[in-house]
Amino acid sequence: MTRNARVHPHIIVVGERQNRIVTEAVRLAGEYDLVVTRCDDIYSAATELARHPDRFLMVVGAFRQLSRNKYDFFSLAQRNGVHCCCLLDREADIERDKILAVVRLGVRLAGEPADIRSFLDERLVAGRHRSAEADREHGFGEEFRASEDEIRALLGQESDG
Amino acid sequence: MDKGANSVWLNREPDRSSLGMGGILLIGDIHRAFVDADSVDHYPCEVAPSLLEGMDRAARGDFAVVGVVMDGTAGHLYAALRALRKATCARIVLLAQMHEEPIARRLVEEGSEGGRLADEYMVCPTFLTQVLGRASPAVGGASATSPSDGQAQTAPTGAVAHVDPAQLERRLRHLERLATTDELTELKNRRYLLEFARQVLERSKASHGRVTLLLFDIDNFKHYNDVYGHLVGDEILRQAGILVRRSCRPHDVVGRIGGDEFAVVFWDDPYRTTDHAGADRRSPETDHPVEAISVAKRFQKAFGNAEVHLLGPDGRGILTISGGLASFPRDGSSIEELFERADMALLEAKRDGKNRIYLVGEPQNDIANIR
Repeated sequence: MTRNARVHPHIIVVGERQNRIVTEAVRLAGEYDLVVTRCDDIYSAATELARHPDRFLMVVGAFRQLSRNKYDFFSLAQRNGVHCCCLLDREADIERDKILAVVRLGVRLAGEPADIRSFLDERLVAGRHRSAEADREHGFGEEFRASEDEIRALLGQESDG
Repeated sequence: MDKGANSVWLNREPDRSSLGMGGILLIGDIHRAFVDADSVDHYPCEVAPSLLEGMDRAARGDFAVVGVVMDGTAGHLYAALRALRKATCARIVLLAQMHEEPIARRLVEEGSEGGRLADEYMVCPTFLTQVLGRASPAVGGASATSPSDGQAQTAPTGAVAHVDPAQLERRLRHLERLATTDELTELKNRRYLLEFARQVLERSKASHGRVTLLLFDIDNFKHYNDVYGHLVGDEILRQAGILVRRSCRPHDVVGRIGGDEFAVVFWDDPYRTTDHAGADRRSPETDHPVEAISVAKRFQKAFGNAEVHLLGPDGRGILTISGGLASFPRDGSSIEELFERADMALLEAKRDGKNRIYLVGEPQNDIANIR
């Protein structure tokens, strides 16, 4: 089967090769037959986004990595209609407000590397009906945003109510 | 001279539709880099306030020059420059604050794995026309700024084609060097060192960084000068310059601040990689600036073994120094205070018999006693 680069789903995996989320994302990309580009950091990833404006792109990486430089990468991805999935380290001391702000940008949070699979499933199904261009113009659909309860579960927090 | 024609160009609104096509991209807070940043709309430049936006635009556009304001990129500079290099063929110009010059120079001259990360650097604040001149003579290249007067010198438009940017660059570097270097030792001069120390101290106040100042002079220098003559005196000063520079880390700034008086500014280099983290690292037990002490000891030893060739066989192992070390924030919060405290420690070292460096405010303050 030959791939059409413009429409074939493309995943950008951010982080070092040995990182567990990188390993898992690359493995899943092979399983789903996705085009994979691994970037060491968000700066390389940002230039990859710019290089492929017409492609159906997804970004996967650790929260700590993708949130560097004041969370700018998430805004950049959103402006480009690109969906991101980050692995949230439960041990990490990350302020809840920051996580909420990121989720509001349409970023999907994963508690385990294996959760990337459900992100890919959702995106690949939705991507058939919804283009990156549409996401750029109209914003991400609500179906991709985690609820407050899901965030609490990820953070291991009790519900306020 | 038709000065008017060029001024018209400078004041003309650029054609925004053509930006990115051989134009200039400036990344970062341009107000930290240019004194005339408010006039940026008059020039054919795009501005990306953040690094990531800069990456995005650099990869999409076809720029001749990308200027990166180093200030504010601490910790991200290497990764960002590596990505930028891959994303664009543009000439990468680092816009460095005075205290960032050693790092900028290193990035331009040595780079890192995979080659040079930037093509040149400019010490800021400067004028927008200086960066414009990097793109092509036709894009603002007619204007050159002399560091001596800071004024833009506008050449006639007709002369644009004859301006050699490389020659201008060489001239500028030469003038910068004359203004900031001590001719005899080739170290930084007093003016540069004081300004550098002031800037790096301000930065450290904001970032809770550390700065340590070493002041030292050569013991009995007057005697060598008077007895053996100025040629010998000059040779001793040059030796001191070479050895102190060699003993210091690349980002430490070393200057000759008067006769036989020298100063070194040790500071936290935000761009150093983690394996060298904590440029002005402290001992956890004593809060001593351990790296500054170690450099000072290294220099003291090297200078003690130095040879004054003009004195023949008697010229080996005769040189010693006395010095004082003062640290921010421990010993003072302004450059004046640090100089005063370090100078007092130096005088105390002299009074106690010379050939020693004292750490300000320590009971056993000879650094030879500090491990």
